[in-house]
Amino acid sequence: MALVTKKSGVSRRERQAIFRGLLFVSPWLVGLLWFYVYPFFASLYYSFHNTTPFATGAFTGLENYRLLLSDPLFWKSLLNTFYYTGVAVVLGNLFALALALLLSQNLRGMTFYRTIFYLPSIVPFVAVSVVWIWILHPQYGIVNYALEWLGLPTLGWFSDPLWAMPGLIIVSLWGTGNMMIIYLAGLLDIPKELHEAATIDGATAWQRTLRITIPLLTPIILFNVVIGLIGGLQYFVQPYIITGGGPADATLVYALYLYQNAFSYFRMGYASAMAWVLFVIIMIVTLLVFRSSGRWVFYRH
Amino acid sequence: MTKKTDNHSLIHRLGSPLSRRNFLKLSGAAGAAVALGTLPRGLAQEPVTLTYWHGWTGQWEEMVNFVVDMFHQKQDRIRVEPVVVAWDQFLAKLSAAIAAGNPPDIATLFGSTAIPTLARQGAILALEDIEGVDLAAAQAWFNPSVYELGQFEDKTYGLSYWAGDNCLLYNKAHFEEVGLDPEKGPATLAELDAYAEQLTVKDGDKITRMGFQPTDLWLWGTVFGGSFYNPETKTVTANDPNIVRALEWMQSYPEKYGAREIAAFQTGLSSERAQNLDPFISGKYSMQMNGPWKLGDLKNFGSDVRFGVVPPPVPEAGMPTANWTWGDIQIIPNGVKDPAAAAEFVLFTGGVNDPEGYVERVTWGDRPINVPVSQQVIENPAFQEIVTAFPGFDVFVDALLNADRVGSPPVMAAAAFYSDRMTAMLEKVLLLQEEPQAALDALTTEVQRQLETMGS
Amino acid sequence: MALSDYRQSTTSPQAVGGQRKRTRRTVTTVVRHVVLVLLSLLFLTPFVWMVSTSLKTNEQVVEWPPRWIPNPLQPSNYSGVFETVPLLTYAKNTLIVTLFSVIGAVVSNALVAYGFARIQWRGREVLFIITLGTLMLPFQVTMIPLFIMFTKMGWVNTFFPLIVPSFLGNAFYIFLLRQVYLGISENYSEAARIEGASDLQILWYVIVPLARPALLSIALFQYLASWNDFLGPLLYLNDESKFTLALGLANMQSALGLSDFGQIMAAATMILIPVIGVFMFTQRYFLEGIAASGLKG
Repeated sequence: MALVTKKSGVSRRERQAIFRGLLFVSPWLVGLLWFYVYPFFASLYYSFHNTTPFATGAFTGLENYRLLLSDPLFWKSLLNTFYYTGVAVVLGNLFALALALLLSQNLRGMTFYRTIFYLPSIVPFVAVSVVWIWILHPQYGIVNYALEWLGLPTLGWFSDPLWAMPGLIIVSLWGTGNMMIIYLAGLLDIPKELHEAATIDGATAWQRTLRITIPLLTPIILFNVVIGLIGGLQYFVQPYIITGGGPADATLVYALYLYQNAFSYFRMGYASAMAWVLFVIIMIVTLLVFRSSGRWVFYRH
Repeated sequence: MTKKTDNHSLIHRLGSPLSRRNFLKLSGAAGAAVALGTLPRGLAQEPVTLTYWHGWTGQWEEMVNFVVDMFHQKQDRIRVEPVVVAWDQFLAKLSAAIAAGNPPDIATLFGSTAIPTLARQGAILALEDIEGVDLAAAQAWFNPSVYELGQFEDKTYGLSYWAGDNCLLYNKAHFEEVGLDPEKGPATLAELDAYAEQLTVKDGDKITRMGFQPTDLWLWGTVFGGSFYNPETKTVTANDPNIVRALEWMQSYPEKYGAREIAAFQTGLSSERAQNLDPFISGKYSMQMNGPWKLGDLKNFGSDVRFGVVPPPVPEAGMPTANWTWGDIQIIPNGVKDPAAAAEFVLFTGGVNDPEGYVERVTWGDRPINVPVSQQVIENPAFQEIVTAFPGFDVFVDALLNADRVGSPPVMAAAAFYSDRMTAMLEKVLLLQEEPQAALDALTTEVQRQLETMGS
Repeated sequence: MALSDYRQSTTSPQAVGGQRKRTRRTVTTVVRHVVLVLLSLLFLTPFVWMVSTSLKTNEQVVEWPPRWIPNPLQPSNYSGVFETVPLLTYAKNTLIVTLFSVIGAVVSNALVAYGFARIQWRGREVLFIITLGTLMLPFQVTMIPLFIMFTKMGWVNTFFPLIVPSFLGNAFYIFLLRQVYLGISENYSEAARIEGASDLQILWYVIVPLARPALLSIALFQYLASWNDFLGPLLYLNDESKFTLALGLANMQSALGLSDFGQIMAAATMILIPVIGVFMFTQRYFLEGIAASGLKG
């Protein structure tokens, strides 16, 4: 499309293009401004005030942020969230990758297995939570039953501060199917010739996996890790339904404490400050991961 | 499981719902009968319709509908439409609705904890400020301690349906089994501890029956003589030495029986909602603190359980008796179109000057629910009938009305926070992860801090 | 190579190694199968257990050791659910929200992605970067102001907060569709343009047919998102008659969680069936949609 540009300003053609473009994009523009830009700044504004559901309240400057830093529950919930996110993302990705590797060989019944592994990740969180409460029940759950049968000590799971979070992590591992699918797609994208060439050169399956498959998958690993981190830091539904943050604050994740502040204690200004801190943390974490990716991600050209 | 239990509401003390359909059929029939019996009058004006928010579900929602139906039967100027709003969002949604200018006309708060904040923000109306409200009648009607539940800074913001309290239920068959006198429940904590030890049964390491287990620090702190908040000085007093002693006593149980074993035993089935799986009815606990509503469950689902009721045992013989109470309080938001009509409903729920009607409501389903708000109700013959029909109910009533000390949830802005933190702290202490003094000191500091940032 | 193509054999004849290699391969295959079977059983267990519990009475639930097949069965839990909660109302509400959200998502994003992919205009890339940026915004940041705003607008206790946003675009779907649109050769649109077609006509007659699988994927994603959505209904729906299935189930759990476990499992089972059912019939679109999003990420 040849554009006739003047030295300054926009050509008529360009203007027309901008008009057409904006026209099509307009629903999103409205949505962006209404549901993202406005709340984005509004919550920043609220965080500088003593906002309650009734009123924006008095201006307090950075007071909410200072209070946050000296609030032990802020740190505790942050720690809990990092704990969950770190472990869940790492284990989740390892597990998903392993499953994908298993499935990438053409064995019979592949679609069947794939369905089974993917299903848990699309069912409603609420239903999942409710079921797992019982599966991990200290007295009547089948997991403890299995442990007992194996001669291992039974665990307190959601009634034990030490095991509550691991319990939640197990629940999230069960839902790792969607990451697996992405890995699977990536695996199948790797040209067979590479593997065949390596095999002819005498590489074992293990070596091939390490030297060819994994490096070629690194962009996808990056994608899954970033998505996983962003999601993990916002983790909310399962703790809300299963443990309510307990026992003894063991599963009080950041999003849950935020929710309590906003909707139980009326402290919407404080909660807004928490939200902004979370946003900053997510940006920093994402940035760090992307920075480091230069060293370990290998892009095919 | 460690779901936080909200001390201030009945919602966590429910049995399983009765069949909704059956109830609706019954009330429909009853309503039709009443309508047929009433002569139609020319309506002088359109009835006022009020929206009424509450958090009750299951059979308790039907109870509310019953109360509303009775209100409709009594007069036809005002119609009330109940709406169930889930409790854990209730306050936020109520505040938002008030702020947006379209609040419900009446709302029931589980417990009085939100009243200070709402009052300060001008979000709810004081009954004194509403024209045409016979507050004097209400004051005369209510027992002072119950009336106080709806008060803040000398104004009355709401009235309670009833007053809760706790007593000790004990299983007579278990008593006989271990050689205890089934007619003598424990009167002191020493006896309680000793009986508990005899009654507890273990299968190897697993506990299969607990004699007793204290879980409610609000109650026991008060029984030991402590007070959780000082409204004059606006200070949080969770580390009151009496409360520390109470917590130390509570901690002696996991120390003696094993924290892990108790936690495993307690999880999941220790909720009072579980009717015939209720831990007391199913014999898992030989002794348990509970409220009057449990008597109904015992009759309906545990008729083969022989039980006795005694007031909360005191730390030492001769000490003043105490109990813990709370209310479910009807408030009127600011900005409603007809405050007087709303107030009429509020007074109705408390049964002001209407003992028979009140008795019918407070024993909806023909069982005790809670302690009535008024001495006049207690003396009413219809009520006395219920008391006789449910042995033990008189103990509950007496334990509240004649207690030397009655504690109730602190009325201050950080009350919800206080309650949540108390639960978390209890979990830690009862898992033997923290010492009572340190835990209560920490609790005091954090709640005080929260209170100050919220402006008490 | 599409996901659906991978059924091709991966074993190429090996001249070297012969018998030994074949045995080793067979062993590996067997091991793989065994592992897969075990893992599948593990993954299926919660589902099986859920159905099993839904057929138990309360006493049977707490039996120890736990039993997989209760005896006798208690199918009345299922009918019991309908008496305990207005499940059909919940279902109707969920359907309404889901249906409109899906329509909104497909229509709006089909349009928006066209603007991002098939028209060259200044500022397009900047806007796209901002769009991507919204993916990093945690929902907590927008949650409180949206709640306050919707309350002031009187939209609380209606379905509007749940439906309207899907008519106004979604960053993830825009991203996905843009990828797909970009992959469609310009020749097609050029040809149409020469014949005098407007943008809208090009979109409808050229792009949409070619992007149909992707559009279907988006419909399915949105269907899932709406059906499973919990936080939205939690914040915006006040009274029970408006609840969706997810919220209704959570409410059941907190009101009855410890008194009627069989019923709750029955309700959970019933809620899952539409999700699993739809998935079974439309697997391809789901998986290809996800794969497409992951590969270019």
